Amino acid sequence: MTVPSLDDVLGNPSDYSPATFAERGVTVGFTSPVVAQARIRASRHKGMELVMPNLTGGKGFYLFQWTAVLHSSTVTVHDRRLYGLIAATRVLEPGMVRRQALRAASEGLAGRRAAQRARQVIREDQEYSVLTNFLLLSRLLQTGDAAIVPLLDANNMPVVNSDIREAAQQVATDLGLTPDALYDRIETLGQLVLPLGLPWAPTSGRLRRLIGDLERFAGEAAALSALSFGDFAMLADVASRSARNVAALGRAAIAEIDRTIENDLTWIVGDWPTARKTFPGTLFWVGWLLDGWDYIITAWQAVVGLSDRAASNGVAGGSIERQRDALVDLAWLLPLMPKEVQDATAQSLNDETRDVQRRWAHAQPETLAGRTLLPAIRHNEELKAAVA
Amino acid sequence: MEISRANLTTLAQQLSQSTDRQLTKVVGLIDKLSDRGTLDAAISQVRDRLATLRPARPLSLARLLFNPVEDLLDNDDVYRRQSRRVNRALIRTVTQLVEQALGPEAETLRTRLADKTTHDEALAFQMGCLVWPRSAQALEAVLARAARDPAFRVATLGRNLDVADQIQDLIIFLKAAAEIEELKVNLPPRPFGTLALQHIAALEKTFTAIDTAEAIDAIARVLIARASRPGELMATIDALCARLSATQARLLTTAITAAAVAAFDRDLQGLAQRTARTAPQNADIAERLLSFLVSLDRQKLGGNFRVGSATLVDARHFIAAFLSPAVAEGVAEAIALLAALPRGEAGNDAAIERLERTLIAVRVLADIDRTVRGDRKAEGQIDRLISDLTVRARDHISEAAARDADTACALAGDFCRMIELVKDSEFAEPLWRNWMTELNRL
Repeated sequence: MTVPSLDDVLGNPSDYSPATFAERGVTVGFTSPVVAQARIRASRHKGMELVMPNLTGGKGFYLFQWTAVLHSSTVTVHDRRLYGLIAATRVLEPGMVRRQALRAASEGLAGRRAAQRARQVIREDQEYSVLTNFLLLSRLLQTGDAAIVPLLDANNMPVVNSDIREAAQQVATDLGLTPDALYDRIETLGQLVLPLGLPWAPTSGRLRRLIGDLERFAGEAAALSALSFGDFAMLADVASRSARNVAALGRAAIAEIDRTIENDLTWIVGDWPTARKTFPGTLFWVGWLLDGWDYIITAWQAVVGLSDRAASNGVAGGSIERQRDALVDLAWLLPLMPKEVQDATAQSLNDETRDVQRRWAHAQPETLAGRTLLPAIRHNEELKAAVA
Repeated sequence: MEISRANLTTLAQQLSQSTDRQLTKVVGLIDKLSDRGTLDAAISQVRDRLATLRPARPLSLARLLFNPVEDLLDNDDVYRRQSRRVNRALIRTVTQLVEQALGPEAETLRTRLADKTTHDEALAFQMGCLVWPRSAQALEAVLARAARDPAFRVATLGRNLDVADQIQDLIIFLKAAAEIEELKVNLPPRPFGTLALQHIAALEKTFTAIDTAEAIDAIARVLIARASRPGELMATIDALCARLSATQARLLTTAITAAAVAAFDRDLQGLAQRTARTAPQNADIAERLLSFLVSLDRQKLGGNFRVGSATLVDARHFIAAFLSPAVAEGVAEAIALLAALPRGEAGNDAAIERLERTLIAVRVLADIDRTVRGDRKAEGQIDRLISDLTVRARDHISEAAARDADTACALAGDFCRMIELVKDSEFAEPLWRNWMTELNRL
């Protein structure tokens, strides 16, 4: 076996600033510290490459090939499996990476708690998918001439009723579709809106909840900044404003999506070949926008303890040192906004984020070593068990 | 508030068994009492946990004064003279002396601190910067008068000469308090492990700014007390010395070595008092001891630390004597836990969790044994464990597969992780792939 040189492993640092979300890459929930929360993207040459922060805290990012990572550090069986699953799909998109991460975790390679949580999330996604499809059908029935039938039971779960089939046939005929084509389009649309959930759904989708969590995190980081002094106060302030800005951009995009679904659902389903050219883009955009923040929120919540929030002054619960240390650890993960997001606040925050990330360099002298990483791996597995 | 000894014992037991959240709540209630009286004794049982949890506690003059030495406080029954620690019993005496010296300003201070907690760090630091130098001055005046006037000394400090020595020690901490507190803010919470670059930069900033031996010694003692692996901290400090002036480097290495040796002695005394331990407990001890040993070894490599070679040899022998049985006991413990797993069934999560913790500990112990001894004798024990694991894995998975494929897959995941923990992922992954292929899941 040829051991790669340091240059092979580390690549060349450059003043990396992503132009697009695809260039920024998708974060992957690996458990090995050396690649934990690395971003993965299509390589210009072949296959995929990992985008990782500069380990020395200097300018730029590093690009790794997976084989180089395997040669140079200890990577868990879980991560090997997860990379294999992602590589096999050949589609790099946050939703897909999340599904593969859940699949790998559900196999138990990241521990029992992570497996149980992954299986539970997969089950919840399936239930929410069924609910979303029925809610879409229900709205179509309401907008058409067909009689409105109760579609949900007392627990907000869909009920199967022969009346629904008849009503759906009526709607399909009105839209010039066969019932099967109607169901196919509803199912496709349902899968697309699944991460957000429908605006009239009884419970919010995952990304809507994440935006709420981001806003809460922004408030807690701001309160922590106010209590602190020196460099750390600046770090907490930047983290808070970044989260708030992403939440605001997300909310604006979701409002637009909601308006489209509310007003043009019949058009979207009826003229899907046209609608598919524009509508899904905004849905995917929200997924890309929020990519990377779910880990930050989960890690933060693991430290502050959801139940211990002190309501009086908006400061999160848990030890203040642990909050501070968690935020320092998470600072290097604050996502940079690609240039394609033409938002002045976001671009100015990029500069501040880069400055903070350099100042609070994420140096892990042990990251390229071996077994001393076990506690760090277990920490990442714990977070995997808590992720939504 | 006075409560009976029996009730106090019950309360202390309940506190020690409470969850973090319950403990935080109870301590919050106790803190609200104007006079805690004997309840302090109950809290003393859980001080270690409180030090880690760091719930918001009321900010008081006593807390401001003793913040710089919070990591060095020992209860009266544990405290030993010359141990380079601080007796908790000193808090009351010193606070009274400072309150007297501050006069009416003490009341103003109390008003400013009312309703504030230890989480109001910026305020605590600001108030501390006002109080620490004046308190140091006041305590120096008390000590000067006590030296001249034996009657005053006995009336104020009692007959125990160590009290004056401790106050003298505390004065040094009060003089360096601003630097200590600022540094603590910029370091990870205690107990901290490996320091990142920003932490090392904070250390450099602090040590570049101070040049008195006393202040450096005080900060070194705080750092060693807050480090989970003091030896690793010593290595970091050793590297840092290259960027300091020759005088600063000399003072710092002397101070950190003295603090580390005192902490090492304390560890050994603690080790001698304990008896039956689990493999994870042994692994924690071994990691800490190895950390010391590695730092002491640096002497040979031209590092800055100067520790007698007898100490080094003693330390190595001590650790080696501790590790041999620890590895064997750990392997036996792991095999016993494996044997207790219900054959072909998922078993409960707690049992698997305990087994995984034990396997990690065994791996850590074996690695440290190899480092300390310079041979691979412990690997024989590890091979025996892996062989046992592999055989049991196949038995459990095939037994489960006959009834329920999902359980069999879950067990494949469990055993793959166990083997990965003890060996490595390159060895474990092909085994998992074989099992999953046989189960038609790949």
